[in-house]
Amino acid sequence: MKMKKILVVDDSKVITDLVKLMLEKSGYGCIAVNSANECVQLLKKEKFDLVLLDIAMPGVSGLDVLDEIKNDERQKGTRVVLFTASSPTETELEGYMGKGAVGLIRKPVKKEALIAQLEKYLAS
Amino acid sequence: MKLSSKILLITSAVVGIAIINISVLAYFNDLRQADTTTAELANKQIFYVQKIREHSLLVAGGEFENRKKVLEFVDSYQTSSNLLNSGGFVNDSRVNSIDHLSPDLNEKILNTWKEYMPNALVVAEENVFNLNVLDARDHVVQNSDVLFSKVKKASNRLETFAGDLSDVNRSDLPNYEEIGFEHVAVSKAMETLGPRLLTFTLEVTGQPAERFGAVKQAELASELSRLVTRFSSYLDIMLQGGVSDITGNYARPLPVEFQAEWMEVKETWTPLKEKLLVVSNEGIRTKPFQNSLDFIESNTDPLIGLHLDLISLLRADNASKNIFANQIFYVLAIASGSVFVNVALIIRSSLSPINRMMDASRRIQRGEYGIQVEHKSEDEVGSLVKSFNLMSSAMKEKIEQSKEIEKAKDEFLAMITHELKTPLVPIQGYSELLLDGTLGQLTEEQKEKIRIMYQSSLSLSQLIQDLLDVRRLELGQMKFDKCDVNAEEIINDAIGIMAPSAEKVGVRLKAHTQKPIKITCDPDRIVQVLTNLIKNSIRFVPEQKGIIEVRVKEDGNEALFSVKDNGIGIPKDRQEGLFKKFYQVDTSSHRKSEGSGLGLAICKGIVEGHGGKIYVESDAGKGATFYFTLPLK
Repeated sequence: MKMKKILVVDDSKVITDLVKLMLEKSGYGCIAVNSANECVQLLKKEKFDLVLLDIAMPGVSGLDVLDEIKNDERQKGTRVVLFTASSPTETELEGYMGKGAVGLIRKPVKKEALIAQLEKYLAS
Repeated sequence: MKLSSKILLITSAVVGIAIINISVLAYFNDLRQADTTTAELANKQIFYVQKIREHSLLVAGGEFENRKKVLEFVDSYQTSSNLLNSGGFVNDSRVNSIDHLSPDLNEKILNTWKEYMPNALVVAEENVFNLNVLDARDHVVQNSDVLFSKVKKASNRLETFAGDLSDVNRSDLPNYEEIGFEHVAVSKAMETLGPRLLTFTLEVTGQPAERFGAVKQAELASELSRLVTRFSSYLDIMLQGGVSDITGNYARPLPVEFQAEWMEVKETWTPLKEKLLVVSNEGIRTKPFQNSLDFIESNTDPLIGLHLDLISLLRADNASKNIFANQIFYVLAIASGSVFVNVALIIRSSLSPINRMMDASRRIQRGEYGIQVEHKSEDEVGSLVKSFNLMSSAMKEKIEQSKEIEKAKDEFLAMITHELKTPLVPIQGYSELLLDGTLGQLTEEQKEKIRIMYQSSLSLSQLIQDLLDVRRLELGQMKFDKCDVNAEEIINDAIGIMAPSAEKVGVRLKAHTQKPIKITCDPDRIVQVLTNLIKNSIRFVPEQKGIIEVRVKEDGNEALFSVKDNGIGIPKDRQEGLFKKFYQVDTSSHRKSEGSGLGLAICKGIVEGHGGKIYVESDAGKGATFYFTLPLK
């Protein structure tokens, strides 16, 4: 089976390093970037199975990136999972799903739980 | 203006208008009363004059007791005349002066009265009857019978003789036939004239005077004098011859042998005739009396006429006064009406802010803070409205401030949780990776310490999550994803989650379920309630000996969950605040177990959000049982 490619986007390098480590140890191909711009640039060149996207980033937020991905025809098969330390309300959550995110993972997260949720979203 | 001043002003206005009304009414009432009295008095003057005439005639007829009456009525007339000309009072009622009505008419009346009154006094005081006439009458009355019988006797003889003449047709008395017939007719006329003379005498001198009046009596007197002349001429025919007015023929004197009876008649007649002439010429009453009586007779009606003119003037004057009074009444009614309308308007405008304030209060109750009530007046109500408006503005300000504070709190909480959680990500993540050997093998001691770090970071994230949950429950922002589930499954899930921590301290967890119970709820949240309760119990039961029993049973139309422990229990006085956030049963510094003080507050929020209730039964030292209910499916 082909290795799944995941793009991790978070302004904190500490976090992207950790997540990258967790994913690679679990057998995923993973690239981490630390800004929305880098993410957008990278997406123009490469295709990923899933983007794990931090919401609260300085400058361009994760939600803007989500909009861009969803408006881009070439990124049709790319699943976006939001990644956040805040606890969105039900209403906010519904808004995110409406924008086209397939799911949301709350920080902090246990490795086991992270992998389980990503597998679930990749299978969807 | 102050309300008390307004009330004073309104009261003064009302009292003032009332006083004006009453005074004007009293004034016009007095005026009308005076008009009535004046008109009555003017009418009475006519009555007095009529009475003066009436009683004068009675006096003239010999009823002298009426003299007093005449004087009385003259006096009454004079009194009323004085009152009417100069004004005054009759029985406390005012009499208006009438001299202004028509000075000409008034003067005419006064002048007439000036002449009328002395005549009335003459009537009341002068001798009524002419004594000569009375004597003559008495003579006539006494001697009439003699005259009648003498005439009768002479007439009878003449008739007998005349009859003899026609029967015998004597040639020696050729002229008697003719003479006899003429003289018989005259003698018959004289027979009837005699009683008439007496009758007329009595009538001319007779009473009552009012039956005939002066004119009639004068006519009677001249008739009497004609009768006297006729009687004399008839007697002359008998004795000297003459033209008879009966036949129009000349009659010669009676023969001498027939004159004797007629001479007898003449003897009586001659003095009688003198007396009859006295009666017919002089009149029964004295000249001064008769003149005054005649004056009264002829001037009473004109005087009454003048009075009637005066009364109609008076009536017209009173009517115009009434019209004026009515106009005043209209003006007064309009003025009073407008005062009352103004009073009503002032009261209304003073009190209308109160109604508006009541309305505004209701709107404030509905949440329209800061609403202002319009006001213009500077009275107490105006100050009240001002205070009300200030209060309303202050409320709006406070509410907005508190809203801002709430918003800031929310933002702060969201920020703080985000910022607190972010550093936990690497702490928790690397701890985990260190423990599972991803980053190489560690010694047991190292693992043990990192496990402590890991557990602490988990507790910290839980605490942050609890804080958020409490806040959301408070704001009603927490949504429950309800579905139908088995109560048993929920209990098993909760026990499954809590089993490791229980085992660690040697506490036994037991689930007691009898038959399947279906409930409608958000299962994740109810599991959270149960785990919180179990976590709570674990903290307070003795290590190694602790037993926690979780039960569910049907109770009416609800499912009743219970979590029972054999811990230290909760004193009664501490149970009340148990479900408030940050509440700690034991505030002493060396308490056995630490908790955030949020768990039970979250449980209460979730249970009540499901329409259930949560409570505790416990005695100090005897363990505690927490109960909560949920609606059945």
